[in-house]
Amino acid sequence: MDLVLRAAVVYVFLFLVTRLVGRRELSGLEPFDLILIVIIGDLVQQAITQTDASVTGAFLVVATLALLTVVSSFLSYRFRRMRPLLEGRPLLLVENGVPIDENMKRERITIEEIEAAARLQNIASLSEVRWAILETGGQISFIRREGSS
Amino acid sequence: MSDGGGQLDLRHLLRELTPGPGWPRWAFLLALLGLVAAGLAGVFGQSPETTAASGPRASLQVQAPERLRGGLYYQGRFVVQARERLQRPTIVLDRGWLEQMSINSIVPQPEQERSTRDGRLELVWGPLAAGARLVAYVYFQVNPTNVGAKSQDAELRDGAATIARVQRDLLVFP
Repeated sequence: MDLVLRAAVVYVFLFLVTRLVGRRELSGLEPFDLILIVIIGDLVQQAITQTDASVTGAFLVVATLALLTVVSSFLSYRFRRMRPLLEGRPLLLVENGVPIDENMKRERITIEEIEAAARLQNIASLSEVRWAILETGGQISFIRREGSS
Repeated sequence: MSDGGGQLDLRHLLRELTPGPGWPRWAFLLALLGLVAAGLAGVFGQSPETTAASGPRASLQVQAPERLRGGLYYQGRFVVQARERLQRPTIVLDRGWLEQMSINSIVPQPEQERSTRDGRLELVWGPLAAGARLVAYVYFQVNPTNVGAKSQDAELRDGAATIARVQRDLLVFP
């Protein structure tokens, strides 16, 4: 019983942590982030299974995590109001070429990062951008102004 | 020829893009739900169960899980309640307590520990007065390769005389 409860508690905790850390940090993995993720995985595994070395225990934990993932996506699909809580909201970063400082500050995104993301989309200058939006997955999408190629 | 080939490709593509029946997915999710529900209900261990036996001179109560999984630590709690004075209170543990198990510690430490010819373990403590109670804790760990059902009987003796015998079974999940 405690195995299922521990897995559920850790799932909720990790969900909250990933929501609080911010989507931008999680979308791009630097080498240090990768090491951190491996360390977190190791710590979490020990917290959930402790000394349990059984296949039964592994099945229970995987089944619990899988079910919670399904429940979470079902809630997000079925109840529109829960979507911002479960998945977050897209955030407007640039409008008509003008950066929105308040939103950038909230997600700790610098103008250089937005410009770099724009260059990856073959956009030379933010003045060509109608909207730059931080998507819930952490990517920045760009809508060009009409007339800009 | 090329049209025929194109239609064939299109049919193949449509077949690929058409989702299969949904029931296998739902059946698998239900199986997962059943597994988790069984886990929550304690089917796979390791909540402790209490079993007891009583004799004219004393009673023995054993509290320990009856379902376990490989690698788990667990505690066996043995309570001896003496009605008459016991000169050499002895708890005899069946082989199921020992095979593929590690004993980490015994509290309070018995005065004597010895194994019998049939592979059982005898734990002997000092005299216990009438009305007195002995609570012994034994800490075990299941070896990861330990799987299956085994008898975990426990016997209370005073010297060679059997006073009470608790019968219990242990099931270790792989």
